Amino acid sequence: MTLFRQFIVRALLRDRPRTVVTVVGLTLGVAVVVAIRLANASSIRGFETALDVVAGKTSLEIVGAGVGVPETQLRDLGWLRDYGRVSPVIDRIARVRAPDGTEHPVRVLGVDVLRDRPFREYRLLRFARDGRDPRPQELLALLLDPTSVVLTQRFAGRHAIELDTPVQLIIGDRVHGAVVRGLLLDEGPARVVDGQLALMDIATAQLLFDRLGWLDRVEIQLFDAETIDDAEGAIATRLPDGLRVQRPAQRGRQVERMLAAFHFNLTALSYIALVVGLFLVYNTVAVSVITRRREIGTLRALGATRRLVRRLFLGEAALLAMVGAGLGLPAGWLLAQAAVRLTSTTVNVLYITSAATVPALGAGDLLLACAVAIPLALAGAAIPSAEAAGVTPIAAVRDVDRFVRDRGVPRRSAALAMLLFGAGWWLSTREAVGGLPVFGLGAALLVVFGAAALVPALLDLLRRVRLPWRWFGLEGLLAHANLSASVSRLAVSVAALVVSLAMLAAMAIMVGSFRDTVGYWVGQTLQGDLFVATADRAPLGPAVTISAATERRLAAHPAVAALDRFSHVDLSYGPDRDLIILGAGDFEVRLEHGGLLLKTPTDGRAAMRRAVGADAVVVSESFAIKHDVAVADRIELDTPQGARPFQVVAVYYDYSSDRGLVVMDRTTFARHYGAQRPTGLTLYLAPDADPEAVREELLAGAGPDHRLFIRTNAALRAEVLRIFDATFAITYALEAIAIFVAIIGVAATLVTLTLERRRELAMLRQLGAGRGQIRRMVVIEAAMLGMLSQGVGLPVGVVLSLILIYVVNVQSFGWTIQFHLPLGFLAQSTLLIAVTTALAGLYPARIATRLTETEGTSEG
Amino acid sequence: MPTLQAHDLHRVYGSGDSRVEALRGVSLTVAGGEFLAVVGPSGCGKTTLLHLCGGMDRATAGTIAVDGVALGDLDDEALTGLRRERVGFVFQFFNLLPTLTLAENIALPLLLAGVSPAEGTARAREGAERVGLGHRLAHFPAQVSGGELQRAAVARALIHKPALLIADEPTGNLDTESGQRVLEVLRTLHRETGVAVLLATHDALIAGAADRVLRMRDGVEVPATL
Amino acid sequence: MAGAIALVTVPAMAQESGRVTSDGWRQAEIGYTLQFPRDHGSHPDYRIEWWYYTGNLSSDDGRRFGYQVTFFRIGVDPAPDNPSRWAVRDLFMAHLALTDIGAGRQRMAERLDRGGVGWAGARAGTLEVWNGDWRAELDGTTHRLRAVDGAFGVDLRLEPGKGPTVHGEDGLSRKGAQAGNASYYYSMTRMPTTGHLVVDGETVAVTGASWMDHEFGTTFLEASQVGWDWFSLQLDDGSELMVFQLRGADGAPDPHSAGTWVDAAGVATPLGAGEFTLVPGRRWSSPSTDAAYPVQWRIELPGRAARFDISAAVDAQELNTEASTGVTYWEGAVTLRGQIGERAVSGRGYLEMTGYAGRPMSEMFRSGP
Repeated sequence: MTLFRQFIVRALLRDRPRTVVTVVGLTLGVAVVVAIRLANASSIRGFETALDVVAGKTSLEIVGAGVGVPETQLRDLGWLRDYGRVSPVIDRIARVRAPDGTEHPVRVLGVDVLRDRPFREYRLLRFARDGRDPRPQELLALLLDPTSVVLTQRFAGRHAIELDTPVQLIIGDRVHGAVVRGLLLDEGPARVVDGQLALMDIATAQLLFDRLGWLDRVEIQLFDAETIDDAEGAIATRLPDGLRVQRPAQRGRQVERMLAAFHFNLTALSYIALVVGLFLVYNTVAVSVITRRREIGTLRALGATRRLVRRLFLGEAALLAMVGAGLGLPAGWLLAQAAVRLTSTTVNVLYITSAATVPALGAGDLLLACAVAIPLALAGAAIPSAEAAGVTPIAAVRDVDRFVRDRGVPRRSAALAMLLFGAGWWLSTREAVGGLPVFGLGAALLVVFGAAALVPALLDLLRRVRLPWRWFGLEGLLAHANLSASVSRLAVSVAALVVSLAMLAAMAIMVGSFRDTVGYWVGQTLQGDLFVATADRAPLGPAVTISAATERRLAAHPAVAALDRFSHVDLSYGPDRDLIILGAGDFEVRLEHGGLLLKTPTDGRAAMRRAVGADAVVVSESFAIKHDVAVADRIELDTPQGARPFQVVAVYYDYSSDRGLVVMDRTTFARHYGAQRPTGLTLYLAPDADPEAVREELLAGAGPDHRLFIRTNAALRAEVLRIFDATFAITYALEAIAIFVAIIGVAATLVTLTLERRRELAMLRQLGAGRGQIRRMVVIEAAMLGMLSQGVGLPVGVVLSLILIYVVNVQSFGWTIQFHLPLGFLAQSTLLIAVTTALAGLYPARIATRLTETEGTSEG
Repeated sequence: MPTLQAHDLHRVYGSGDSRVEALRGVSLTVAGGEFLAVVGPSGCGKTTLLHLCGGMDRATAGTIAVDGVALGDLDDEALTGLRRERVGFVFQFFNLLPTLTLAENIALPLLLAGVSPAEGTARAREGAERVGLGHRLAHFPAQVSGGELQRAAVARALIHKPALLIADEPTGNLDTESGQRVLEVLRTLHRETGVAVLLATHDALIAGAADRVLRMRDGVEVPATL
Repeated sequence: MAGAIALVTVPAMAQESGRVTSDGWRQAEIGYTLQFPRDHGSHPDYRIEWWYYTGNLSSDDGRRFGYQVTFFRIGVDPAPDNPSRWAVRDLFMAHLALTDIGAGRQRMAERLDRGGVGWAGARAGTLEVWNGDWRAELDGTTHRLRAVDGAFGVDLRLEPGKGPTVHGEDGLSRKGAQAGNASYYYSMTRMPTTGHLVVDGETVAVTGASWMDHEFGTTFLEASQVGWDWFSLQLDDGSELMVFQLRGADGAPDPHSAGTWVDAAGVATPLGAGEFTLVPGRRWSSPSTDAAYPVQWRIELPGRAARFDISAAVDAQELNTEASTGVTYWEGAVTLRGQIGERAVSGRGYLEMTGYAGRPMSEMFRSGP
């Protein structure tokens, strides 16, 4: 340990720039991984904590098909009492408008406090002051008034809301005046969801949320929790068709599975930064070993064993990793905060509305960061450490046993690359595993490794090819010669850069193609003139509705020619109970005015016409792919009356959700699921109407009790693309980090090469090369490496993007993306890489000039 | 039993056309407490001979025994252990580790041998004082002169009380005065500790300090011809 | 006679009598004629209503038990604006108590529910009142009473016996000086009872006699009235006595205390406040509430030369109903010894004492919960 401190730590401190570069690289690598993990965890956790609170001490719950539990069915479920306490629940999202005018989403639980008291904590500030819990009648008395709402102390404190003062609840298009009748103490569940919780009486909740006659679920608290398995089975057999019993965690699992593909892809992406970090560690330790050969030889001569030497350098890597992990953790946490903010649009729009907060870092995270970073660093340091251990005592006095070039390497690397490419191709033809593109990403990974493996062969080719290096003058020639001489040393760093650049190109192509496709789809599909929505387009869970009054008012406007009412509910589908979206629209209106981009059949309109009022559905492409459904198939959907068959008449393109949509005509929907208020409206205007003017009039016509969001066609298109870009912002951010780390890697490699060649450089200087020439030479080397990497990375990137688009995307999300090369972007990035790598060469260039001076004086 | 006994040593580098025979059958014996100087021009093989005798390199043919231990029988680990415990080295270019202070450099063999850092430091201080470096303990190699470096190297080579001290051109990289001081220190310590010394030099003056001189040329011993 | 009157057909519009208070509930006033089985049913126009079953039962092997099953309906809002089924028109509460006299122990359970999808309720027009699976209903003329809470409960058949006895003025029982502070009140004073009890999880066949009270109105008590002591007594000579005494804050008897004497033939005679005296005797202090309940009483009816000594069968028969009505009261089986003239009589019955602990009863029975 003493020797480690004296020999390794002091050297790291002495050679600060190199150490800093490595630590920064590792820190970023760890930070990215930690950030993605935390961000993923926070979105899942956000939901799960909300779930915990909402589930309370519930052991089982009864849920219905999509629209909920018809309460009339509940009347016949008196036998549930034999198993435990029973509490019906309305569980919805609303916004609270605070006195300062700001709006905040809250989860609203509508409960019958008389039944619900054993299920949840009801510790109210009002009573806590007297040191007691409220009696049931007192709770009831607080909630019975239809304007009563109970908020949390935390929420109220944050938004300066006082007890017994009015607040506004915004539910769908309605603005409801409420009075804060109670504040839940800031403890337990109320604290966990960061206070975003409101309670109201179940009757009030039914009325406000358009849920008269329906319950979102019925919770059961078993008398004997031990018997949950038996009870679940027994209840399941006794329940009528259309109702299901499940454990509350089931919902969490459904959401987790729903998010799995998204998170999986994000996590896979984050590991690229870490892999690049691995190359960086390799570099750093390699530099150590090369520059300290003589010292290592001395140590060996003085009696240090090979094992000790190896351990010293592995220790160096581990130390760097620990520092990187230590710094990477908080950095990752900060990054996660940013990512959550960044993706809050994404995740919220695509998946969940919940109080997503980044979990605090714990000792477990540190362990995890170390568990990721240290083995990785050790792996990266394995080769140079072995090399260090191989240094003989003779090296103390003599430069011997330097690299012996193995002429077989390029050929072997090419063979390995071909093997990897072949395996990648094979994997890309495999099916998804549990909805996750495991093999698809595996294929991508193999292609990446294949590209990395190809690098030595390509460098060898570069060595042999006599390109007009003279363009860059003597320095260019020398640079080429230098690079040619260090093929094996360069291979690793170039491979790292190739990997990063290939990923960047692939992502750019994939995202660019996707954006093009979405743009085209939006153009084809959005035919309405005005789109009416409520503020909370909660993508998961109950949607808020638009009131009949508003609908009538909008329909009555003279410029409105037709109105398409759209509702959607979550529905569990298939053996895995995946959460799909069941939608209902006015097919007649859509046939006349709307657009729908159909994949099959070709005569979609005829198919849709047949579906009007019939037990027939059109399904989204992602539904069709995920559930292996084609036109003319029959699918079984859960309805309140039990499972019912529906015929698939068409498959249409949809990029609004990867969950899979099944859409039926409104009349069909009403027949099976009961009449539900629409969650969105599309207005088709008379040909001569000005959409913007009509929009203004409609908005102006809304009274103080109503609040609407109306977007024109153009605004909605822009919004779709804005959301799209926000979704991929995090992808770009990750890529940028990976590239940055890779370029640091190139700089570090050049430092290695420069140090290795110090004698040659000194000789060049003695032969009369100017400092500027030396510097130019090194910079040109850097740029050459950059271009070479881009040259390999770009085609590999195209291959990768094909895998991403046609395998990973299809397996994860089930979307058709039209392949499209964003040539402009790729050209720009190529130029950027050339410039950046050249800039990255400046530091080693400086070292080179400095070295040539010191070498010349002390040992020359 | 002599401290060092080498018999018919051969050392060949490379193969085929680039084959170089650095040693071609050299034998020598250094008794306990004896000071043997190996003298010869550059490239005569004396450095190779020293490396073989110190266990830094392996002979192509021939046998070496240090304190009766045949080096050829040892694996790398055992050979390393032998260097660590029985041999001390003084190199032409000092070979002090730049990140260690002089005291730490001197204590290094003790550290490698598993002696506690505290004891190592105390003994290093003692050793440094014996070579006149008591005031340079906390200095790093880059901060002191070549002569001081080499005296520190001598102290390091003897700190663990080896049986055999191997010194390869110890003054070769020093000015005359510094070289003289290093030589003095070497001789004093040789006397005081009774270590056997095998020293290579091309400097007749230094060779004169030895008990016995072995002359070499082109990888073989040549008879002493004055 | 009252029982006979009760069987007389009343005009169809009778239900409409009584003024409606400002908050939408009808007042109990003179002019309504109770009719059965119709008036066994619920009277949703009135705010407060209860069905009260008590009884003394014994098993074949001579174990003695007292039981009480009460269903309450407390009106909250006679016409809620919210069309939701969960909108609270009435709250339904129920108390179940079982006294194992031999073991000297009473167990109780309670329920509080809204009507919702019909998990609790009371039907108008005939006897059907329920709270979860606790239920009282008519089977022909037999009252079926079932209330089991896990390890204890009752499952009984109660025959009508003498039939309903209406109290007060043709069933209107005044509770205060203010008109409308009254209730319609009748009793089934001796209902031959068979069935079984669940005692500590074990089913015990029992027989005995029950007493049923059914009372409804909108405002009962006046602010000055803190509670009452109520007796239902079944004498072994075939007659029954109901007396209640309203107590003011000072503990003094209220002039609106009243009672009814039912002779063996079923002829009922109302008793005014001046026609009986109630004298408390030994008190028992509840360890949980510190309330001191008189567990021995002397009742004297000077007009009948009757004197009864009433003793609690078990002292500890206090009910704490924090989770439903929020009232703490004493309700339990009692035994009676005494004499009418020179004739010695004995009997059993139930005693209810309210207003000894916690909030005054008038708070509960004047305003909503």
